[in-house]
Amino acid sequence: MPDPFINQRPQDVIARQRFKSRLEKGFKENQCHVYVLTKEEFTCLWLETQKFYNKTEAQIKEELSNLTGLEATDFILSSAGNYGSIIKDTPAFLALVNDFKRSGNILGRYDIIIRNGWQYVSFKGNPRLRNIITRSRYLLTHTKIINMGIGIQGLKSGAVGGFYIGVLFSTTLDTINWIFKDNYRWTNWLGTVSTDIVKAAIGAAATALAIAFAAVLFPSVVIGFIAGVVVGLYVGFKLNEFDKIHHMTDKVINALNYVEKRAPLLEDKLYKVAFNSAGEAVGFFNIGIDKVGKFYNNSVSQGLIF
Amino acid sequence: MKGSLSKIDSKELWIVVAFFVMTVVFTWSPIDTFNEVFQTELYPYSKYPVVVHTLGQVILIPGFFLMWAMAIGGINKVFLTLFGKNVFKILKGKLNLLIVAMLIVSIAVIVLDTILWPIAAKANGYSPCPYDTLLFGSKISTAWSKKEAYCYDTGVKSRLSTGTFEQVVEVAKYLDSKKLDKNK
Repeated sequence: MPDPFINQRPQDVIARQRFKSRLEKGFKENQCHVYVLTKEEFTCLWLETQKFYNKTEAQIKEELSNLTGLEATDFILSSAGNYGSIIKDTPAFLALVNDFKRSGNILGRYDIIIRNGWQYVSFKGNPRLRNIITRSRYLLTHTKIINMGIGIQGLKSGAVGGFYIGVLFSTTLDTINWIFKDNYRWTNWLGTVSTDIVKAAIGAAATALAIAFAAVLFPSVVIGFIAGVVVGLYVGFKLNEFDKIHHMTDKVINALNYVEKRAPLLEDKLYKVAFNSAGEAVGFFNIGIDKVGKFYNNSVSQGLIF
Repeated sequence: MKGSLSKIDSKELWIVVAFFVMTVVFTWSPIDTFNEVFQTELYPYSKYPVVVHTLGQVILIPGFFLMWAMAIGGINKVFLTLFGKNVFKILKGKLNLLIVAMLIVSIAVIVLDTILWPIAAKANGYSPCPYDTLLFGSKISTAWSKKEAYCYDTGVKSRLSTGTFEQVVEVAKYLDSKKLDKNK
C-alpha cells in the first residue's frame, strides 16, 4: 500500500505542523472550563461567594430577594389580593367614563324605567356619540348592564367576581409563603386562607351593598363605582383591624396547631377503644359460638338433627 | 302620610336600612382608629425605632365620614319622600356635596399615602424590614426600622405581632430597656 504522504511536498508538511502548533496554542490560551451544578450546589456556591465578599446575612438575604424577585411578587400579589377587584374593573371603568364623557354625561347618569313589565336602564346624553353604550336604553338583564354593576344581577356578578379575585390572589400569596418560608406551616396556610375567605366574602357583600345604596342616592355609574370601591376598602381595613385586635387568624392557627398536637393522642385513644371493643365483641361471639356448639351437640345426641 | 308611604320603594328602604346597620357596625371600634391612623401617618417623623405602615389605611378617616354621610343621606331621602319639606331638600344638597368631596378625598389620600409615606420614612432614616422578618405573613403591613438589626430581634418580633400603635410603643420601651441593660 502506498504511503499517503509520499507525494506531499516538504513545505506542505511544515505548514501543517505550523497550523497544528498554532491550533494547540490557541486551544491552550482560550481554555474554558464548564461545570455542571445542581440547583442546590449553585445556591451554596452563590452563598459562599457572598460570604467571601464579607457580606452580612441580612445583605445576602436582601440580594437574594432582589435577584429572585420574591419580594416584588409578594407585593404584587398582596396588592392584588386587597385591591384585586378594583384592579380588574378599573380599565373597563375608565373606558366607560370616557364613553360617557363623549356623550355629555360624564357621571353616567341613568334612570330605571318600566315599559310593558320590562325594566330598562335609560342613559342620559347622546347615544350616537358613544362607542360602548350605543343605545339610549337597555334591558336591566343585558350583559353590558350586568358588567357595569347596575341592577341586582350586575351587583351579584360584581360581588362574586370581586370575591373570587380576592380569594385567588390571597391563596396564591399564602401558597408562596408556604413554599418559600421555613416557619410557615400548613396550619398557617389553612388558618390564613380561611380568615381571608371570610373577609373577602364580607368585603364583596359590603361593596355590592354600597353600590346599590349609591344608586339610591345618585343614579350614576361613576359615583356608584367609586363609592363601592371606597366603602369596600373601608370595610376591608376594618375587618383587618378587627382581626388585629382580636387575633382571629392567630386563634384559628393556634386551634389547628392544637388539633395537630392532639391528633396522635386521639389516635391512640381511638385505637384503644377499637381494640377493647373488638375484644369484647370477640368474647361475646366466643360465648355465642360455644352455646351454639353445645346446642348442636345436644340436638345431634338426642337425634333431633341427622 | 299614607299616600307618601306608597311612594317609597320597599327595595330601596331595605337597602337604606341595611346600609345604616353596616355603617353602625363598621364605624364602631373598640380602639381609637383615628389615633391609630394619625400615628401611622406621623411615624416617619417620630422617634420610635420600629414603626409599621399599612398601605392605604388612611382611607379609614374619610371613609368614616363618607359612610355616615351616605347613611344620613339615605335616611334624608326617605324623609324627603315622606314629608317633602324644604329642610330635607337643603340637607340633601349639602350631603351630596359632602359625599362627592369625601370620595375625592378618599382617592387622593390613598394615592398620597402610597407614594409619600415611604419617601418620608426613608428621608428620616427608616428602612423596610425584609419580608420574612417582622410582621411575617401580613399582606398589607410592613415594618420599618431605624436599624436593620431590630428586624431580626426576637424580642421585637414577639412584641410586634400585628402592628398596632400600642405594640410600636411597647417595642420602643423594650429596645430602650435593652439599651440601658447594655450600658449597665
